[in-house]
Amino acid sequence: MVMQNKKRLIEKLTGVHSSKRSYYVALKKKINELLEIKRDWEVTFSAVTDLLVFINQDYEIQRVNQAAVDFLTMREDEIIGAKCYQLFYGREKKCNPCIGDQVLQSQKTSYLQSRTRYNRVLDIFVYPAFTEMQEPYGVTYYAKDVTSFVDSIKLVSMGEMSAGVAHELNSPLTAIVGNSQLLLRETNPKDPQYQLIKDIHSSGLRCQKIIKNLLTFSRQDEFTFDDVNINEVIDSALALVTYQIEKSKITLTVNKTAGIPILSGSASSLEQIIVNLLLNAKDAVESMLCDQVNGARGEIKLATRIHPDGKLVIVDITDNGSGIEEEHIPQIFNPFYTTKKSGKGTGLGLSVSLGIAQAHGGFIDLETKAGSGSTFSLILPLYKNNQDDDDYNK
Amino acid sequence: MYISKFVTPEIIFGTGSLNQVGECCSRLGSSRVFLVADRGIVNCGWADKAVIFLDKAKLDYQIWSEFSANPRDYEVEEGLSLYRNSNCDAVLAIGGGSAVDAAKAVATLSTNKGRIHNYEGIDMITEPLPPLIVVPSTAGSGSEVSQFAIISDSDRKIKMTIISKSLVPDIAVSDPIILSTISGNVTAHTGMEALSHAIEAYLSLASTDMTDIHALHAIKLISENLRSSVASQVDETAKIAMAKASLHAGIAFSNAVLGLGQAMTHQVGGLLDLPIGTISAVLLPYVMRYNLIACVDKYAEIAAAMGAQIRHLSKREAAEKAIGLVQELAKDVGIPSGLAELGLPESSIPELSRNTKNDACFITNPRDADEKDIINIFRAALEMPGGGS
Repeated sequence: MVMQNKKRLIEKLTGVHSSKRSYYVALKKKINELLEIKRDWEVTFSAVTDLLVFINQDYEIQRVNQAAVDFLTMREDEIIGAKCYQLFYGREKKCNPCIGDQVLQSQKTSYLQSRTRYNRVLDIFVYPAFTEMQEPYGVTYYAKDVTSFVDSIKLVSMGEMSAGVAHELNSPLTAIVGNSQLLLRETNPKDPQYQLIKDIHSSGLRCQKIIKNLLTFSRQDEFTFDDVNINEVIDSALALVTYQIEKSKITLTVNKTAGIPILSGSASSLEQIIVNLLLNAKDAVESMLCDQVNGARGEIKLATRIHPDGKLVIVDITDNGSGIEEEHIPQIFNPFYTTKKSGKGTGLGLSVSLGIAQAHGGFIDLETKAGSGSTFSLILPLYKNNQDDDDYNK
Repeated sequence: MYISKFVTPEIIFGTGSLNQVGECCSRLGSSRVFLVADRGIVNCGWADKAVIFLDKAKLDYQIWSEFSANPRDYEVEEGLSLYRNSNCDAVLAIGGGSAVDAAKAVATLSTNKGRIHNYEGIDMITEPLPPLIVVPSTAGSGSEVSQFAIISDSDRKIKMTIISKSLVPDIAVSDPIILSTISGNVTAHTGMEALSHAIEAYLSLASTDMTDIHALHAIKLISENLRSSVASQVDETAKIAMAKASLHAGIAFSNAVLGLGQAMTHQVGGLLDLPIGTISAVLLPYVMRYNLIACVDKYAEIAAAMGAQIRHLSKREAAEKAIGLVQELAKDVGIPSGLAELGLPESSIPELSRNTKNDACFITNPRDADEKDIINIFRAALEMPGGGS
């Protein structure tokens, strides 16, 4: 026991079990710590959906996060070391002025909005980076892709502009339509000029209609709200389009639910929506029948129903037409967006329809599958009953 | 048989080898050197000389000399802040045992957290030290090659022994020329310190063939050259031999550790502000007498190494001769013969004896000893001039 103890003590004293602490061990530990930190930051940065790019003083990209890689649609190793102006602007020389240079000079954060390659608009925040010795060594770019936001602002201003133009055109058109009407009345139908005047008159009317659509789109149109029976609205819409649909050899099935309560709205505007949805359905079915020569029969079904909670009325218009490709779905309600052949659609129908539905406190829902058809549902709120009014007043 | 280990730093030896320090620091990856040099060394111009070689190697440096002969804990902490503030990344020590110990402590704290007290004892250092290069200016402490550092605890008023393989310098540069600036008196007590290191390492329970060779050679060199080295500052042959002796003794005791004599010396050193070498030289013959029965053969070898003709003597006679030769050498170089001359109060002996048993060096002493035995050795050294024979 004493021997063992002594032996242990002496071995400890002479350091049999200890060695000079090596930097290799410390280095390995440090490297692992740094790798962990690196991984943590990489995970963090890749979770950021905005672009993060670090660029050195020679305008070379040193680090990018996943969002930046996705934006540039290149491999990371192709991005690293490339010049920023090359990848983001497709330039051969550095931008003039270069915001990176400015930031390094002023040592202050800066911001700019800029349209880059691929026609994308970026909100770019630029931060200077310094070493421990306070020497600048690069800049960090934090960029947000605001293209769709910018483009929607553009659309809004386009809407406002077209409304302005429409107003300007309204007065001359009134003169054209009114005066041609006057001339028509005073001209003998057998007169060779009669047909010319009639063309002027009908063209003027068409122009007025387009302008009305434009005004509706820009919500400068006024609705007058009355008590509306939705089934009656559907009847008058059908009166307008049934002939066209059946002429195209499409079976039209109408299934109206009886006893739908009265709602508040503009009958002519709602009629416009129904007509629009029915004509869209007809176009979809026709394009499908064009593609397939297998004798499949086109079908459009119109049905009304009351939502189970009794507060909404729904008009479903279902077709077995071409359906809508998934990539187009987000855009179909955007004004001026159309997949129809040029000359066939203005790209205003659905956006105007949605605008009207929204003005009624409702909306338009869509279920579609490319190649097998779509169901557009116009959903409108019913009159609130007294009970509900009391609830609202509480 | 114990499992043993043998460690030495890289050793550069030779007259004028101080000119290697710049290259050494640069080779170890330093760009800014913390130059630890005691005031004596600075006054003799050795620090300036070293700086020339640092300049040649294009290295920056920061000189630090603010520590006492027995470096204290708070001094070491002041040194550390200077090291940090000046952004140094290597430590170069030029000086006696105190400068080297202070340098080792600063190097330790530069990478290991907290106070130096945390690292007292065996193998407490956990983080690697920055490059450490040591140039000894005395031939005695052996700390240029050892795994030891001794720092004074200013609160507890004791000396803390730090033992760690990490304290073995990376490079020891031994330039005998530096020894020529040391006075005869310092040469004497540092030389005797080297002798007691060598003898105790040789007698240590942890001694091995590897350490014995170094220990015996150190004993031989010291007994042949200490007198002439003390006698003249310009005896180059003696200086070279003593510089070698210090290295050999240091290598021996760093690996074999020491014994009771060193354990007792540490206690007295904590009490009296005297050079360690003087105290250990005074105690050595008394401890040797006590230890004699444990290893008579080895004592005979010591006598032979010190030049005695032992062929016609019995082992016991030869062993006795070793003690006599040590006493004779000590007397020749002016070491007092008893503790009374050093001014040790007798009343302190019981406590010193108690503490001696807790000193790490006591573990490897060849003969067991209890508190009473140690008291007797102290008393003998205090009362009687001479170790006995």
